[in-house]
Amino acid sequence: MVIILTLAMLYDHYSYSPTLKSTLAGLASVAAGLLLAMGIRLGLRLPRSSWRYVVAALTFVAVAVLRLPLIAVLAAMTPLAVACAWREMKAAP
Amino acid sequence: VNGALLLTLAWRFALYSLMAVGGVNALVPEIHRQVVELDGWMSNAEFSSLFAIAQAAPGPNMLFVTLIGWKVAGLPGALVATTGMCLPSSLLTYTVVRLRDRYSQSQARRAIERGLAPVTIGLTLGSGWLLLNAANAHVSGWLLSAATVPLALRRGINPLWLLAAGALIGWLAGF
Repeated sequence: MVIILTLAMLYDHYSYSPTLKSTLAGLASVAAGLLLAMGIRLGLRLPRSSWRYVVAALTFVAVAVLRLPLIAVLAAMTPLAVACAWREMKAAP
Repeated sequence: VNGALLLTLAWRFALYSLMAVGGVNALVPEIHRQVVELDGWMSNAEFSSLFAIAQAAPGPNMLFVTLIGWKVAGLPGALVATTGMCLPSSLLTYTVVRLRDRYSQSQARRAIERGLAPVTIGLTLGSGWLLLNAANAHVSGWLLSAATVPLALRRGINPLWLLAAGALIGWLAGF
């Protein structure tokens, strides 16, 4: 917390420096790539089944493309996903 | 410092904390929607820089929330956002863990856990996609992100090295 706030103050102080801006832009590009990779890694670990693909894809589109509020996305997707998981467990316990 | 602004921050992050299925990373699109698109409190570049600083700094991902609060309302904002993010979710986690212990063999619990896993993945991928767009104003940025993904998927490379390399490339290439 102390470290991060020190960083934040330094950032504020030098935020007009073009050097810092380009350094942070490079850092941000990598950080975005890392987050996408994390999503991919989690996705590869998931058991293969069609409802899982559909749920993940719908969630992605709702949040990233349609930019819907998260609370609405969760309210719609959670019951759907849990119902699918429930059915799967009933079919093959 | 504006008291109403601090209250807004506290309330919003308290709400977010209850929606953080799969951690802070899943909240990136929602926070971006609010602070960049609706309120205009910061630019895309500032938003993605703050996320990157939080990733590079030692400590939990939660620090991103601290930085957003700080950017919006200084030190009080940082404290309020962090507290708002921690308090309700730790109460919720406490309750959930107790319930889970009681119903540890219950099928409902397993259905919820299994059902939420793909939702979390959709959210994480959505966060990644959103940050790619926020962070990369030019082709060079996209190329750097694209180079990161396969390296990050390989085992045994500390992401901190990738972040350091990204900062160095950004600095040298004048992104």
